[in-house]
Amino acid sequence: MDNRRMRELEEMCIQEDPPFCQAACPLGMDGRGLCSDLAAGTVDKARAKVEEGLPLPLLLCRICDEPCRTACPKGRSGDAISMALLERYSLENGKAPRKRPSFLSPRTDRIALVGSGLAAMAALESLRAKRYLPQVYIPDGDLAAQLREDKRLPRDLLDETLERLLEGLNVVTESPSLEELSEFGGVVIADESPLRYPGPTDDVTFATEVTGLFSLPLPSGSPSTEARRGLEAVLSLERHLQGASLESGRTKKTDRNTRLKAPEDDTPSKATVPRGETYSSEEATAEAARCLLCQCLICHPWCLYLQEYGGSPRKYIRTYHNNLIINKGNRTANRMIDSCTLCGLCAEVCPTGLDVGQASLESRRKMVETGHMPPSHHDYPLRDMASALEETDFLLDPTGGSPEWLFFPGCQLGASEPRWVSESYRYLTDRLESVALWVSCCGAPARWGGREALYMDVMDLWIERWEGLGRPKVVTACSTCHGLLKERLPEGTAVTLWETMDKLGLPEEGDVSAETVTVSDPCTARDDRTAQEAVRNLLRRRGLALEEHPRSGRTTECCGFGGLVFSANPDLAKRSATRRVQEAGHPMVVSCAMCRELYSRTGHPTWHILELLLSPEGKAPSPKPFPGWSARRENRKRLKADMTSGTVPKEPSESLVMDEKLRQNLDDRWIIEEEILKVIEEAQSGGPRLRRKDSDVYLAYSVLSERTLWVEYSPEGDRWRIHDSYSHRMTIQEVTR
Amino acid sequence: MRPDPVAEAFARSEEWICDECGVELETAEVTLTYLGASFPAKIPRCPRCGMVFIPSSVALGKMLQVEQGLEDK
Repeated sequence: MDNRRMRELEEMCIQEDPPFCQAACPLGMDGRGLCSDLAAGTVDKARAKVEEGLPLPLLLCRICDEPCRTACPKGRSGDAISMALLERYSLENGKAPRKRPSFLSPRTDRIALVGSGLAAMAALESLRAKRYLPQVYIPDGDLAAQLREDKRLPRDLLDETLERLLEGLNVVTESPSLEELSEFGGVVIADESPLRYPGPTDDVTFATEVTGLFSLPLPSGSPSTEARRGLEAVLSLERHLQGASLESGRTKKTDRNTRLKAPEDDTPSKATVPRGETYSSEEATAEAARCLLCQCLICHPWCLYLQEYGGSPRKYIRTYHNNLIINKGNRTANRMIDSCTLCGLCAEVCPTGLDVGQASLESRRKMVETGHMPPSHHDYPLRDMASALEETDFLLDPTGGSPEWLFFPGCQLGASEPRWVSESYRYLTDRLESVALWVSCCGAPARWGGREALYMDVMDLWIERWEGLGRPKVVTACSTCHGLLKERLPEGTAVTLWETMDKLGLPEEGDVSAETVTVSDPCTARDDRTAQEAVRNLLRRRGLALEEHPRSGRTTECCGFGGLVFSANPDLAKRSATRRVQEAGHPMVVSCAMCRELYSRTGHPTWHILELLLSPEGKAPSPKPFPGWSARRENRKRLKADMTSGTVPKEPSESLVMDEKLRQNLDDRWIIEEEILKVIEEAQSGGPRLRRKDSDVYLAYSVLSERTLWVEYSPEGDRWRIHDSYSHRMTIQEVTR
Repeated sequence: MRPDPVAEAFARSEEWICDECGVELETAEVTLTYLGASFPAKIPRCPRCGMVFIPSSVALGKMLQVEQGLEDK
C-alpha cells in the first residue's frame, strides 16, 4: 500500500469531517465540542474552547449572526442549537484559562493597521497576541465605530476592549498618506477605512497588487465574517513578513465543507429560552444536551472489529500504514491488520463506501511481500489448504473427460459432513446428464492471508483443469468459491447449488417439522441476491417458517472465519459469532459450511441448509455440534476414500484416547490428531523419547514443517492415551537428532 | 518473590529420563532460534544422545511470548 493509496482510502472516511455547525461558521468554532463540554458540566473546558475559537469572544457572542443555525440538523424539524448563548454562558461562568506569562519581547517589524470596526478590532487582537506593535490609523476616530450603535453591546464592554487593544500603541486618528504607508513593512487596511484598496484583492488572503498591502472588502454585515476577515488579513501579513507563501494550505480552510450525513434518529425539540438575559447553569446544560454531537461512526455498531481497536476507519488505515513503514521497533498492529474478516459490511453501510477490508488486505499483501507477516497468524489455515489441495483433492468424472456439469462443493463442505457432498452429488447426477465431481480448494485462504501469488497459482491451476474438462458449467456449494470463481469464469458459467436445487426441485419431498428458523446469509454471498432467494425458497418449500436475521442480505456479517480471523484472532472470531447468534431469535440455518461450524461452536443450534434438505426422515435432525478441526480433516479423507472407492485408511481418532477437555485444548492449539499420531509413530519406531520415571508415560517430539510438536502419551490396550500435546516454533540448535 | 515459572517447569525434568540411554537429564546450554534471531538457553537434555526436554508450560509460556515478540519485529 503506497502513500497515495493510503491517503485515498483514509480520505474516504468522513469521521474527522467537521460537524455542520463548525463547517458553517466562518471562524470554524467547534460547536460540537462546546456542547459536549457543557452537557458534561465541564464549563472551564467550554470557556477555553470559546476563547480559542473566537476573536473578541465577549463581543462576538452578543452579536454573532450564527450561520451555524441554518446548518444545524436540529433546525430541520425543531430549533437549532443556540450556540451564541452557550458561548456567552461559557465565557461568563467558566474559569479563565491560566495564561502563561510571556518573557518574549515585542516584535520590531514596522507594520500598520488602518481602519475601524469589528474586522479591524479582530485584526488588532490577533496582532497583539502575536506580539506585534502596529502603528494604528483610525480615520473616523473610533476603532469601535458602528459597533456603538448596537444596543446589545454595553458601552463599558466596548471601552474596556478598546483600552486593552490600544494600550501602549501609537494611535493616529486620521488617514495616513500613501507616502507614510509605503514606509511600513506590511499594512492591513480594514473595513471602515476610506483608504480601501481600489484594485483587485485576493478573496482568501486579501493580498493586493502592492506587496505587503492587505485590504479587506466592504463590510459584509455579518459579524462572524468580519471577525474572520480580520484574522485572515493578519495571517497574510505575518506570512508576508516571514517570506512564507501566502496561499499555502489556505484555500481549503476557507472552503470548509463537511461530508457528514445528518443523524436520522432525532426527536425535534424547542430551544431552551433563558429566563434572564443569559442562561442559568441548568438552562445551558439542557440546551447543550439537545446537540446531536454530529459525527460519522455509522460503521461502528455494525462491526465488532471496528469497535475492537477503537477509533474511526481513518485511524485504522493510518495505523496499518504506520505499521507497514516502521523501520525499527515493534510492529504492534500486525494482529490488528489480520483481525478484519474482509467481509465488506463496512463498505455497505459507509456513506462513502469505504472498505476497511480492502486496506487490511492490501496491508497483508505488503506484509507478505516484505517478509513481515507473522508466520503463526495463518499457519493452520494454510496447512489446511495444502492438505485440501494435495491429500484430499479428487475428481470423479464418469464422462471420461467431457462433463457438461462440474459439481465443485469446495473444501469445507465435506470436512463438515461427507454426506452433504456425496448426497448432493447423487442428487445432481439423478437429475442432470453428465456431472463430474471435483473436491478441492479454490485458494481463498491464500488470498485472505495476503499471499496473492500463491492464490493466483491455485486459481490458475483450477482454471487449467476446468479447461481440460471442456469448460463445463460449475455448480458451487460455497459462496467464497462461488465469488472467486465468478471473477475468472465467463458470465453464467458458475451457479450455486441452491439456485440449481430451486430449479430442479427438493431432494426429498415432505416437510420437516422444525420450529421457526433464523436464516443467516454468508458474508461472501452479500451481493448474491439470487442465491439468497433460492435458499429461502428451498427452506419454505421444505415447510419451514423463516425469520430474517436482523443483519441479513446486503448487510449480513461474517461468522469470524472470513479473512482467516478464526486463526489470527480466535477470540475476536468467537465473539463475532456469539454476537451474531445472540441476535438470532431461533435456531439458525446457513448455506456456508464454515458459518455452520463457527455458529455451532458457540453452542447455538445451527443447521447447514443441506442437513434439512437432505434429511430423508421428513423431520429435522438435531443440529450437530462443531466436530473440531481434527475430525474435519478426517471427514475429508473419508469422503475421498468413500467416493473414489479407495481403501478407507484407519483414522487417527481410532488409535488415540483423550478426554474431551484435552481434545478441545488441542483444537484451540491447532494440533490435529494425525500429527499426534505421526509423533508417536516416529518415537515408537526407535526415535528418541523421554520416559517418566517408574511409568510407561513417554514424551517425544517431531519437527513438522515450521513447528516442533510434542506429545506426552502412554499405551492403553492397542491404543495411545494422550496426556498432553503442544508445539513451539523456535528451533533448538546444537541438538542433533 | 514469585517463583520463576520457567525454572519451576524445568525442575520437573527430574521426573523424566532419556528412554533410549536410560540416564538422567542434565542442564545444558543450547541455542534457540526463530526468524533469524538466536538466544542462548539452558535446557535439560540427555548428556549422551542430546534429547531435550521442553514442557508445555515453557512452550506455551515464555517461548510463545518470545516467538510473538519476534514476529512483530
